Amino acid sequence: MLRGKAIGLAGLRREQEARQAIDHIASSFRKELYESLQRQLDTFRENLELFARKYRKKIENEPEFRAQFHRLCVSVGVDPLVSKKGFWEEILGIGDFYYELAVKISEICIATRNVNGGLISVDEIKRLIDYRIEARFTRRSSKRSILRHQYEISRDDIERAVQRIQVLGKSYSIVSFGGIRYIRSVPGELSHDHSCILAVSKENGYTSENQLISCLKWSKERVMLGLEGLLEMELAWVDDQGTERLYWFPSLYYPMED
Amino acid sequence: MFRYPPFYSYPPSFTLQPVKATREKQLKLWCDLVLSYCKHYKIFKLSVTECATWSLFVNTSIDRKLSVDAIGKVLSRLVSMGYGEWLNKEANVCLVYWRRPNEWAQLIYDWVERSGRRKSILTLYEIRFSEDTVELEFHEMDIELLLKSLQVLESQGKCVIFEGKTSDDLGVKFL
Repeated sequence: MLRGKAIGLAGLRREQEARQAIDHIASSFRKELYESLQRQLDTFRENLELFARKYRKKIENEPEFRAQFHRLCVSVGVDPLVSKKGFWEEILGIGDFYYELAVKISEICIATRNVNGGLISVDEIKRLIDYRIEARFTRRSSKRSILRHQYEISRDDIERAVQRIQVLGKSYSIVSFGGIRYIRSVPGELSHDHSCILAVSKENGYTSENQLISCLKWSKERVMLGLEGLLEMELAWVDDQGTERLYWFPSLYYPMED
Repeated sequence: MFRYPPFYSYPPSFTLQPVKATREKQLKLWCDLVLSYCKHYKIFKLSVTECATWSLFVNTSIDRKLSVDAIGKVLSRLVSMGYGEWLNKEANVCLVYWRRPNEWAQLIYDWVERSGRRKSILTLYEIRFSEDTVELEFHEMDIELLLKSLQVLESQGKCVIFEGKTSDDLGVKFL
């Protein structure tokens, strides 16, 4: 009985030791794997940092290059915009850049919401921002860093900045209707026909019944129905002082401050 | 130089909008513009037919103008918001209150106190054209608006208005 128990105990101990040995190997293996991954990641971050330092000017000045850099970061799960503190901020000041851009965009959205029903095309926002930057530059009054760096702002930057504001609430979104990208600051949807009408009007910022009939090959009734819908949604304004009634869309074009 | 808002360069701004919600925004924008324009040029009174030819309502650079009918609606809105008052039944001449009569009353009374004119009698003409008021906003103020403002003061017991042969001869004693 005693022997049996001794064997049993020794057996248990052996078993326990073996399990511990396996655990140990496994954990040290995991640890090694982890450390190796960590090293790889560190190396990668270092390289990315070197890259960012080296191409800082290019990232700042070339919107296309900046977009590619972003795609690179995102593909490895690093978001230079989210990391507010740390080397991204330090090296690129990129957090500030998008923050300021987001502020500008929301300023424009709020200022024009009254006339455009809360829908503004990305191109129109870009036009207004470019104009403002130029105007401030000539006045030499602003000390804002966007202006100091003389960044050229791309549509891609605008969309990124809007994604930043989305974090603060769902009130701003990027929507695409009829091949045109818009920033929406008031909820709502555009139907297919409405999108088509806006797409035709994109170039001039306005359209007419006749233009729509000839461009879209729709019936007069269908055109009128679409236009009335846009008027009701407060997205269109009529102008009766031309040769025919014109429908203007402040979402696509609105005059600028003198 | 008066700086027009972007709205003034937008062609459809000059056509009264058929959809109510849009028209409301449009009238509000016009009211804001009328008030800042009148304040800038110190205009106290508007006649619908007369001001229809002013650059305020005519933008030659985009070849658009606001119709007399639409101007009437803008001014009616101004009146209904308390920023103006019709002077006749036909509703085509109105006072524009870029400052309301009670605000004018306060400005005038402040000046009276500051310049030690309490207890003295002044004519309305003196208040409007005195050299002492050249620097002040109510210099050359419209006489009907001045009278309304003084009536506010009278109702507060701060002055007494005396009869005169003409409006400018009216006298006022500040208490």
